[in-house]
Amino acid sequence: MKLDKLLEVRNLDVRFYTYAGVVQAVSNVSFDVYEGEIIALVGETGCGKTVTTRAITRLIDPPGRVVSGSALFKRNEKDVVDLLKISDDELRNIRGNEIAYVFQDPSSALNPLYTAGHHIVETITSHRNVSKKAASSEAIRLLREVLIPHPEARIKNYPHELSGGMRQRVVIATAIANHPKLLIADEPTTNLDVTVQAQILDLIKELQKKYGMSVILITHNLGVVAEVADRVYIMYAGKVVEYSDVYTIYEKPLHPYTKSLLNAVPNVLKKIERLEYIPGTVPNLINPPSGCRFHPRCPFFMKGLCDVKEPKLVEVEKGHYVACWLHSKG
Amino acid sequence: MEPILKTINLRKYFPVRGSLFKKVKAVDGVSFELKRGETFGVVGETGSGKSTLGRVVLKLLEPTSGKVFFEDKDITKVKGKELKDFRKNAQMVFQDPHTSLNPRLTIAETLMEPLREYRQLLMEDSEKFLIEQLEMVGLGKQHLYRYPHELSGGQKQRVAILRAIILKPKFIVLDEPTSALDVSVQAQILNMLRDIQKALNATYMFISHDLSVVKYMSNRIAVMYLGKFVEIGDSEEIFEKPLHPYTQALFSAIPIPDPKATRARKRLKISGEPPSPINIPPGCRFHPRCPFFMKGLCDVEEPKLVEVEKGHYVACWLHSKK
Repeated sequence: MKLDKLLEVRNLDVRFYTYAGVVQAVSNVSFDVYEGEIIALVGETGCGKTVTTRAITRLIDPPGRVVSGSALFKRNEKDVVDLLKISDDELRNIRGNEIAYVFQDPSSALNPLYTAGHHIVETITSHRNVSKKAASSEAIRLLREVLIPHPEARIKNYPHELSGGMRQRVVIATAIANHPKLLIADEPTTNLDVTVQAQILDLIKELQKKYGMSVILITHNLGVVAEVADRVYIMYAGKVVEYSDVYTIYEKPLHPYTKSLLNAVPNVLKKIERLEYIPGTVPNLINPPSGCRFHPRCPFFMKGLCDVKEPKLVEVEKGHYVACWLHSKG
Repeated sequence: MEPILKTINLRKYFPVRGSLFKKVKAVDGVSFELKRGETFGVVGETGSGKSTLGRVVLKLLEPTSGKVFFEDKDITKVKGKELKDFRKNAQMVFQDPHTSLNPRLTIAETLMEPLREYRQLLMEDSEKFLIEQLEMVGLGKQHLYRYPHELSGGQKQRVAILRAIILKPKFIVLDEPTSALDVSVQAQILNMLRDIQKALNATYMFISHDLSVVKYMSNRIAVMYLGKFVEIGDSEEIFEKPLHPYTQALFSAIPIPDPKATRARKRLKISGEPPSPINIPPGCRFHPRCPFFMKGLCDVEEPKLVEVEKGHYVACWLHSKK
């Protein structure tokens, strides 16, 4: 593994064994996270972005199963482990400590029976050898850091006494309590209002800089991605179809799906006569389309090629990869 | 031209449980006019009262005070046949298609209900008519006898829209019609709504928290904060020259799908979250969060909506004289 790489996921395959059939939720997904960068996994509902990150932290419950793949995580200069193979004990040491998770819905991520402070104190004491008292003054410091006013009082509040934005701040404070190397933020602002969303995004960016963390941001909002990400992975139907740095993706998208997705979002800075849209809907992953999974909705569909052979991710220019027959040879 | 809908000082208060005097002031004095054939966008954050406003103008809720005129009739007073007439002409599409369709009715039954109520159709040709209508919203014959749970979110919202337009109403309130949908589906639905509007010459009131969507859909936009309009203006104009500090903050918080533009722009950041509509701050409602707060003025007297340029109204002491 390269020196500045923090996480290297290769050929991840996750399936859900349901009564209706086997859902191929994530197929052959590979991605890297370098130290100190923010990557975004972008896609629509059911594209596998959440399943991917849950899989690497082994949070997939039956009937789901990680069928194959590896997720190498650099704990320190000498110690690189495969998150999918290590023992439960070792994994428990990493989760909440070196890798932290911010879930989409802050109201269900907090336990309604415990105070905001308890969540943070518990996270600290279970990974570090400190007294409860020290942990709770640390919790106050963390709440101040995520810009919660009057943290001394707020620490005693129960989740229902906090607004949505405040809850999400508590969740973030819990996540950064042990200075993780990797923060996974799964739609962290989806249920929040725009002004609060802007505050939370600023906060994540600031903390990322301050602690030098890496962040995996999962979102469907292309505006949020443009705002914070360094590199972007576009996912469709359980696969990565394109990735590059954020500027290239928005300026020179290559995959027809990326292009249509970008044209489907209204941009307030531009006058748009008519939005483009992608015909049809996201395919069922029990019987995914043959060949390229986007071919039934693709305006550039080439019969006999796209529906037969699956395109591989190829590097078209430095750091810009795309899986499409328009850009690779058969 | 005569406005199709006009409200005068509309208020809707909800009682607070366990208190005789406290009230949630969801809508607190809103006056506006809708021109025939336009789309009037209402934007605001959670708890700004935009959905309540949509319901009050459709008489789904009775206003606490104030008047709503639809084609010169005060709908807060209409009853019986007149009310039925109003319902035929004013319809609503709700946010969540999963809960707004009756799970026990097939699509055909859902769509037949308004037609039967207004005796617009003989039973023999109903199927043919329904299929034509379904095709208009991008569905087909095969969906006619399905139940809502057999459809995707986008398909359900198409049915909910078709149910609203099947009687060819003059006025439709669209309450966050696409916020439960994915972007690619959202674009389909938004385009469809624009086509329908042209075909029916309908007037839309488009309620949403998503400013980019509101801008794409609307001719005029009203920005709502804690039960009041703080700014109203032409959609292009209000985005180019937002005057109220809240509008400016709201606009600069929109994530723009263009990394260069979004990282380069200047922003007006505001802290905190909207206060509760039970304890509305005195004076200008926005003053506790406002970066231009003027002590002794903003926290004492409430600014009125004044016309600063033709058709552009703002309620802020920075733009009006005492």
